[in-house]
Formats: sequence, structure tokens, C-alpha cells
Amino acid sequence: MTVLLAAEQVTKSFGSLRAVDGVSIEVRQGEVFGLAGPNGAGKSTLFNLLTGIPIRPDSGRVLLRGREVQHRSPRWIAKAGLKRTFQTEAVFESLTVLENVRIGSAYGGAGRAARWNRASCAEALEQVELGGDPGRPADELSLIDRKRLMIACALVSRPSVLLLDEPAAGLDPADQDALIRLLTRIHATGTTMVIIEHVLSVLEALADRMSVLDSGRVIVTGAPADVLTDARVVEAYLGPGAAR
Amino acid sequence: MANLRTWAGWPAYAIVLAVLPLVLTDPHSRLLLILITMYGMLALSWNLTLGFAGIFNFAQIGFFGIGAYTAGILATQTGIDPWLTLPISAVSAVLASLVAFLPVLRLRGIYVGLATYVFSQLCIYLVLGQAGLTGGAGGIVGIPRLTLGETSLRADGRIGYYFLGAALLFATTLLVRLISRSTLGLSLLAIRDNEALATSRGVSRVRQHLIIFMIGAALAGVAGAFNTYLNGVVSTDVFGFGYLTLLLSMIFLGGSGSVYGPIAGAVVVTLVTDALQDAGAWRDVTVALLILVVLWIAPKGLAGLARRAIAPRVKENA
Repeated sequence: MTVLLAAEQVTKSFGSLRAVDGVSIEVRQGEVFGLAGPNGAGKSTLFNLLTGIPIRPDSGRVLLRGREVQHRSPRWIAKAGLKRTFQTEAVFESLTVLENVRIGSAYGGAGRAARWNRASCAEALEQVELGGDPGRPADELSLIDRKRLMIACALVSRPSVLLLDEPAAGLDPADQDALIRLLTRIHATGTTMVIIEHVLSVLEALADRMSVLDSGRVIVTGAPADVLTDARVVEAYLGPGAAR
Repeated sequence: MANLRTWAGWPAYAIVLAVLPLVLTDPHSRLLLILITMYGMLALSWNLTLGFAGIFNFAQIGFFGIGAYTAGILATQTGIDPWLTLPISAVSAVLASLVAFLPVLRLRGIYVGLATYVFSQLCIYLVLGQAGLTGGAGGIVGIPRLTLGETSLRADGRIGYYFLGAALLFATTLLVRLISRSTLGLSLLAIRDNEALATSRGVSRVRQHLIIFMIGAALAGVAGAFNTYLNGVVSTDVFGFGYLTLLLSMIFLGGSGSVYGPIAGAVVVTLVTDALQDAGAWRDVTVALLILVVLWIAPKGLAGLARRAIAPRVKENA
């Protein structure tokens, strides 16, 4: 199966702290790839390194469709098809729902011209169930709707790979279920996704494969059912001896 | 239907601009009207970078001055048609904006403010240093007036200057309105809201900021040339702190980041400062107090007050 996104021995240090330490992952076309690990494991830093926002790797390579991108600008990487969401529910608060998606449509594509496609915007909003009131100010949206909008903004330019940074954070169980249904529908359209998540039930429900990071290193990669019962993973979350 | 509602105000705006000088015919009122059109245009142009893009750009007064000097030098030292100097002033201000933009590439926030303010002040030294061309501290005098055929724009209580100023103000307002709802305008708000998110959506901060910097500079350059022909003289006052504080007052009182607010600000500040002409230092104190009170009641200025009064929140997307 085609590998769309790969990190090869990616390393990043901040002073004496090695936040990401020789991490390698491969994301295949059409799959949902999960990333889990305790706080400070290096998951979000890895996303930042993949997208170049706002940092770059000290060493290692990032390949998007086989092409090295680790030295490219964040904007170039975004336009090449790697779109992400952020841990905080980041939307453009001065803009309406439709205008938020319009930005993604106008600037997210590969071309230089900033032309937006009204039909694609409407479709992306329908896809995340925000089609009802596109003129609503984004700063009036609920938490789950902000997350939906953030996803629609990334989806509208039809990304090669969609990176979601803790999409379920802060959601109650009912909204988590709604999110899982939404992401399942998006995945069914053939969108390749990488999801960082602390809520492991979300990864169990969605991910085809996943890696667990601890102290900046990948400790195990595989199917969620195998990974989440792995003794090394249990120890990473609960401490030495917990797996016994 | 929404389009009709959105654009219905424009003919009314044009009619008000056309009728005002017919109602206010005395020379002093006419001069105030002309100043309002010029300040309105300049405040609108500055609001593009300061309000919409959120750039602490204090080079705008420099672009105004460069436009003023370009027109003054060309009109007195070359045989060029004075009308042609208006677009040329826009071009020279745009070229200057490329230099003033350099700090925006790397700096953020208040540091951009400091660097761009220094740019405006350096313009003064440039003018003083090139006295052969610019007249130095004495400025340029004897600048020919604009004429339309045989008629001077000064005739009939400067009515020609009023209509030129009104046409420029109308065109600038229309341009700002179009930009504010365009993809460019929305991208500026997006960058101001969350730069990292905007970048991750493919927006280039440098490119968008440079475009709006150049558009704002072009408009300020034309306003500067207009000021030169209106006064018939140009001196380093055009780069001065007086213009800077006056225009900032207009933008903040009117509502920075709003399309029409700076025009309201230009009207109020021009009229208040004129009414208090004999009040000495109390004039500035009164204007400052007025701004503080309005911003205390409505942080988004007069435009915010108006928005609250008319409708709770209306956003057009048609």
C-alpha cells in the first residue's frame, strides 16, 4: 500500500531535553493512524515537526508522497496537502463559519491564486454538520462545533493527509461519540488521517494502526487491540511494574 | 436581496457627498469639508494596516509626506501635468512602502511600531538633506494649483477641491469595503486572529501584509498629493507628530478595523478641533478626553456604538 506520509529517524531537542528521539512512522493511503502516549511523550512536537509549525527537525527526514519536506516552509507543506488541527479549538474568531472555511478553500490548494470554491465550502460544512447557519460568527460556536469547523477548514482543500491533534479533548462522552461518527464518515470518503489522542477509546474505534510514544521514542506500533494491551504501553502510562 | 441591502447605502452616500457643499457654502465650512474628505481618505488607508491587519504601522504618515513631496517636486521642477502627479505620488509611496515593510518581515507588535515610526522620521532628514530638491526647512512654495480646463479648483470657495476630495474619499471607501469582504481582507483578519492557524491553512503572512501595506501606501500617497495642491505649499510638517496623533484619534474614535468608522472619526475630530481652535492646549486635552470616554463606553469606537444601536450582530455573506 502507498505510504503517503513518513517520518524517518526524526529528532528534535530543546536544550538538553530530547523531545522527539529518532521517531519513525509510516502512514499509508486511506488508513487512520493513531498516536498515543503520556503527557510530554512528544506527540504534538512530532506533529509540529511534520508540518513545520513552528519548528523543524534537528535531524531525520519527513516525506510527503515520497518527497522530502522537512526543510520546506509550513505554508508550502500545507499547500502540498498536509493539513492539521490544533489541540486548542483554534478558529478565526473574527470571521463567520463560512468565512473560516473560505480561508481554507482559497489558500489551502496547490495553486498560487487565492480563489475560493463556494460549492466545496458548502460541502465541507455539510460534511461536519455545520451547513445550517454558515453566517454565524465563529466565536459563538460551542466546543464541539469549533472542532467541527476546524476540521471543515482543513478538509475543504481535500488534503492528502489530515492530522488531528487531540480532537476529543474536553468533550463529554456524548460529544465524543458524535466526533467518532463524524471522523468515521470522513474516513469513509477515503481521507487519510493521523490522530493524536489521549482518549484511547477514540483510537480503538477509529485507528487501523497506531504507535505509542514515551519520552520522545516510539515504544510500540501495531493494531490498537494489540498495542493497548502491550506491557510496555501499560508501564508507560501507569509506571514500572504496573503491567505485572 | 442581501446584495441589494448591502449596496443600497452607496447612492445615498454619493448624494450626501454631492449635496453637502451646496448646503454649506461659506469658505470656512467648505475648507472643513475638504479637510474631512482628505483626513477620511487617509484614516481609511491607515486603517487597512492598523485596523484590519493589526500591524503597528506608523509609516503611513511617511507615505502621506512622500506623496506630498513627490507632487510638490514634480509640479514645480518638471513641466508635468499636475494631474499626472497624483498617480505618480501613489507609485512613489508604494516604492517607499517596500522599504518601510522590511521590519515587518521579522519584527512583531510594538517593535514594528518603533521601526516604522523611525522610517517616518528619517523621511524628515531625507527632505532636509536634499534641500536643493525639496527646499529643505523652507519647504516648497509656489506650487501650481490644479485646474480643470480654464477653471481653477480654487474657484467658487474651493468647490473643485471639495469634489476631487469627495470623489477620492468615495472611491477609497468603496475600495476598503470591497477589500474588507474579499478573500484578502478575510485573510488579514485570519492572520490577526491566529497566525499559526492561518499559516497551516496556506496563508502567507508576509505576502498578505505586503499587499495591504502597498495598497494603504498608494492611497496615502494620493492624499499627500491632494494636500500639496490644496495648500499650494509643502513642508516637513506633513511627516509631523501633529498629523500622526490627529489621524490616530480619528481611527480609534471611529473604530479601528471597521470599514466606515474612520470616516465618522474624521468628521468628529475635524469639527471638534475646529470648534476648539482658540482653546489652546485645552483643544488636545478635550479631544483626548472625548476619545477616552467613547472608548470606555464602546471599545470598538463610534462604529461599535452604531452597530450596537442598529442591530445586535449582522454579518453579510452574500
